[in-house]
Amino acid sequence: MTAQTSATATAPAGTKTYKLLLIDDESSIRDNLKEYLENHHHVGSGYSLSVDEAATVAEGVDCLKTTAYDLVISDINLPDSNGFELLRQARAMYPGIKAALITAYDLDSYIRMAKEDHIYNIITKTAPFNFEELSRTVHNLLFPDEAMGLETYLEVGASQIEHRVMKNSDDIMKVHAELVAFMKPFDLPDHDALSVVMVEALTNAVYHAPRDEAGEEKYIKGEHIDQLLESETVDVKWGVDGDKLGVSIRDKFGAVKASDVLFWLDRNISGESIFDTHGRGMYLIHRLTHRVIVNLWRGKSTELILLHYLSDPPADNKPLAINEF
Amino acid sequence: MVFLDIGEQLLIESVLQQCPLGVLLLSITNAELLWRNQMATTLLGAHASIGETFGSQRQGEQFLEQIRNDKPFYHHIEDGGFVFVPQTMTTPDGSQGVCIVWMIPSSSMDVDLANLQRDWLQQRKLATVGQMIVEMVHELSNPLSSISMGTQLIAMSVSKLQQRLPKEELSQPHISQWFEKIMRELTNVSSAVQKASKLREELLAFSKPSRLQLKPVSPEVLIRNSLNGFINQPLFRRIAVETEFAADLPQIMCDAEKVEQIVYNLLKNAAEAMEGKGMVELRVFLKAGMVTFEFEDHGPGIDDAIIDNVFSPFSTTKKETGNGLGLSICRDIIGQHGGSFSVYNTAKGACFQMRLPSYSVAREKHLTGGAMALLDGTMQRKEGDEACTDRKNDQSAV
Repeated sequence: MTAQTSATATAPAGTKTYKLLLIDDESSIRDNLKEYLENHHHVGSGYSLSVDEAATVAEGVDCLKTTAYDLVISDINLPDSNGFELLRQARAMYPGIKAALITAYDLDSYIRMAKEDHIYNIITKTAPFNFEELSRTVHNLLFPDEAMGLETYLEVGASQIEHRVMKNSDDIMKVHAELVAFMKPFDLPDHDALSVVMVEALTNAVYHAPRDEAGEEKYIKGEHIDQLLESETVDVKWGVDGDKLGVSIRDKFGAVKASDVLFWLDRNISGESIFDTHGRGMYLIHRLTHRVIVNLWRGKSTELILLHYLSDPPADNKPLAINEF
Repeated sequence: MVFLDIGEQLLIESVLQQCPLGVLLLSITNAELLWRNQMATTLLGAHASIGETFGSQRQGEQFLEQIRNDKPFYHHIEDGGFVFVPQTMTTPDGSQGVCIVWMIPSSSMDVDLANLQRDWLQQRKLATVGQMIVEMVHELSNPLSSISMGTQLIAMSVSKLQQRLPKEELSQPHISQWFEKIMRELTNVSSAVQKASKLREELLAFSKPSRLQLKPVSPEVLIRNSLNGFINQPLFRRIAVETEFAADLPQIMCDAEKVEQIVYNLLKNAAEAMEGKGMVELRVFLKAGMVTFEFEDHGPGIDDAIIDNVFSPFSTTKKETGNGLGLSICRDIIGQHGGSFSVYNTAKGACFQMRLPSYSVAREKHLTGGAMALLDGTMQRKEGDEACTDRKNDQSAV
């Protein structure tokens, strides 16, 4: 099958069109994704997408040779090689190119490769397919600074978003108690698991975020902190919309790197973490929450967004969504 | 070996090593074990040391007699039973000789060798079919994605059209009915695909080597869910379950689905032991950081002769009805959790004790989440065994 260049999607004159390269060996999937991205992509406005398709790594590379794409999305399993290899070649040609992978299989199997190749977004093919997430992922890749904020992920008209600031170590359990009370009326089957997730996330933000001048962690986990400096306080927000609840936990340091997150996930998936607890919190959060989005505004703020569906939980196969800028 | 030259010996040894049955070579003079193959070593373990009389002194004599008879005989060893098929080869005067003994795992003397071979082949065939199915199911993912995405996109397009049509047109009955019908059909297709996708996930999860899905669970919720499965079954209609929960029980970190199945299994065993009528006392309390579940029935208890073997995979105390997990699997699963599983007789009947670490204990032992679920079998079993050595005096903990 030869690569096809698309007719330009109908975009109002004057709006920018971003060029996307889509690689998947299944033609019907390529058709569907292209149709969606060109005609139904709605997260973010004022621009449109134009999608070129390829069915193999070789075809994809051919496309890359002739066009400077803004974004490449590739299936992992391809007939002649794999998506990781394709992205390596794409980045060799265009160092700053934005990239994501798609897979029908278990995310866990690819975390190590994602870590090694610095891939931070992997979309999972579930049935039904989450087009909303695809739309959000594409927008976040093109405009990562717009990925932050809980409001971004809850439907318009969501309930009021609560906001608290953790100023000392006692606030961790105080905020946790409020979060548990907030979740209780929804009678979630995973309530207990989520409670654990919240403890991990809140605790880690307070203890692991603050750095001293040398860049080392300032506080020791477990020690009582009477008062965090203004620059060390942590903002926690939560709210609910029609089908999910959301929590965001945000620090003012932005010391976490995307590669750190993958390092933690990988060592817990592989079992290397058995002798220590390094990264266990992030792993548990990722494992037990329906959706986790990690926003890394380097040097400014690290934000963890936790989304959990109230009923009709999504398929087990979770995507990887880390936005670093 | 007396009769063969070294070349032939090595050849035969290599063939026998690959034999899926256990093979022993015994001296016919004193039942001394001269040689055994890998499978025999695996099956017999400590019971067969080269150079020593096979089995205990007493058993050695028994064996000798049975061997000299050259007829197959049944013998029960700790973990299971075997039919031993001896083949004796002696020097012409009968003074020296060896006996090759083939060990066929069996629960009784009734070994139909022809059936055995057929079953063996059938198993291999099923395993191949199983693999084929798993591969096919993997391949289903793309078609299912296509169907699902296609349907969703049609729905989006129809929806857009609906929004663009002028009101006068939309309000016409046949038009509005059309839209309704289309959206309804699309929803139906979408649900069906979702179901197919879930089935696929379940099958793939089932075929993967067993991985624990751990999460914090309250013991009360766990028991409540297990009892719900139990209540509606005819077997349990005249069984009373009296539960007693200690106050302030901590959460446990466990694979809730698997542990619920184990609880169900234990209750089912108790019900069968009491022949469908009686009481089971279920107590849950915290002891030394372990949440302890005790299932005490008012039945006949477990025979002293078999109580030591009750957790072995070859246990023949009752016919396997197929629905329950074998007790050995239950023990393995609890062991993987870092807990322990034991049984002992009380004045009232049999008592099964299952202990699972509380969430905080599991955290300390770094056994939470991914780390625990991914420990390989040997490491987990070590944890389980350590916990198991904590015995009461009158218990038989395994």
